[in-house]
Amino acid sequence: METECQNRLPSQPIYAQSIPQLDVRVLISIIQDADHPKAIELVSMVNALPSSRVFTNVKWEAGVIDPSLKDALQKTPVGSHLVLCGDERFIWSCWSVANQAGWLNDEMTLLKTEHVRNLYCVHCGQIQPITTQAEVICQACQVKLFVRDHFSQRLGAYMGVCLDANQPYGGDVK
Amino acid sequence: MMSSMIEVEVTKVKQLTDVIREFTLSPMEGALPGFSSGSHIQLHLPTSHRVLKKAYSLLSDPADTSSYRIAVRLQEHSKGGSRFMHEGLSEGDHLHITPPSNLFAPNSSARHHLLIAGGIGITPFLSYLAEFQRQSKSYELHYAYRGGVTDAYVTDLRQAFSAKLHTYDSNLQQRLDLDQLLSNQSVGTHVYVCGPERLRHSVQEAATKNAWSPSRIHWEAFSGAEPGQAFQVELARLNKTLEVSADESLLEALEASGVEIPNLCRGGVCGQCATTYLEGDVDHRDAFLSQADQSQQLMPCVSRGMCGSRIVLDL
Ligand code: FES
Repeated sequence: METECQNRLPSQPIYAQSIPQLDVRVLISIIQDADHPKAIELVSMVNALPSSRVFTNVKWEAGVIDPSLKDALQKTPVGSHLVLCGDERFIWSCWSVANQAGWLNDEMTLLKTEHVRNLYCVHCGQIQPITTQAEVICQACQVKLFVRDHFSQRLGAYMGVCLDANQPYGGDVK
Repeated sequence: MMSSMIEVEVTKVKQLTDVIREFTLSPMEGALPGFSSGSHIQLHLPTSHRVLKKAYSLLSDPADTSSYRIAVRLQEHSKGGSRFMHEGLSEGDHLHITPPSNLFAPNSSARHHLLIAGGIGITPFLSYLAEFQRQSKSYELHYAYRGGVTDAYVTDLRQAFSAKLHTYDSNLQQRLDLDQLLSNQSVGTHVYVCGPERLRHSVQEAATKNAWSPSRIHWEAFSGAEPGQAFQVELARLNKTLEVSADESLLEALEASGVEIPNLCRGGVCGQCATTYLEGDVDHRDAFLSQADQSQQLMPCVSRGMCGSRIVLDL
């Protein structure tokens, strides 16, 4: 089991360990990959609920999802709940669309499938996908980055800061 | 610790209905501090036996700092505050007020603002409307009142905001169906309530029934402390005993004996006046502390000792 809640920074996202039992008006599930075991479990559970809508294999890129889905998110009545199921990049991309539509954090459950997340290079602003590693080289400016636990909801990314203060440049510059 | 007071002059008094009066407060010189929609000020009222401190919402346009306007309803069982405002205050009088503070600001990320006012609870929303119009925000105002008694500003509102205004006159048996209203809102709506306790309860009830997240519900307690029974309070560290009479709040009694407690709303919502107590049966009337915290703390602006009891404060 993951123990992500221990010693977490206040900015670190909280992912659900399981699918909560919800008493809501409409339950919307947005799923990245319908074949993932967590997605299969989610679908079998929400299909039993009276007013549940499931969107699977959703097309997305940073901060942009299918316009029809965006529309559905804006027209949902207050009192609904949203489950975002996918890797961290997918979740935060959907989160920013939902947030703009007016959804609040306590109306969303984040169900993480894979360890693919975004890293933001604080030196050059590049956002790149990473997995669980703690050190990464920035694709754009080549600086060696240390992956901090600090997470920006707005960017949907973890912060990468220069690992070696003596070498704040890319490459082999002394 | 108390923010510095401002001296103002009452430059206009206007009777709006049988029980509601509007006051314009102007600075002795220059302009008054700026404020945001939903702000309130505290007035210090020099009544015959003591200085009463009362919080009132600013109803004027936040863009105008040449004066502040407030409206006060005469409460039947007034402890002196609203009676003083209606009978003891006239144009030309001077008063001391605190700078504005805001415990009831509109949510900045809301896409639609649903405002629900009961009677004199219309006041904070008047400052919202000016701002909403300027920023072309989406909103609707539902205003329930008793025609001819608590229907302040209804004519002005009809003229300026008729498309967004829904009124309910209890004299005409017009009812606001909260369940229906709250079941029809789309995500992005925040609801704001200002008015009597029972209106707030009804909104809360309808919201719970429709599975609203509590973070979408905002309310202002404008009525302040209700009177109660007399009780005794002991200040453990100061080694003092005070009698709190039926018509004053514990906070007022503490202030009268020279003990200053930080406070903003004087209505049990802001959390500023939290005080630890060591002993006693407390009648908790605030809307701030959790039940667990209420076993150790109380809000002296509204809460009291049970009738005839004695409470011991860690002061
Ligand atoms: S002064 Fe705000 S809770 Fe007491």
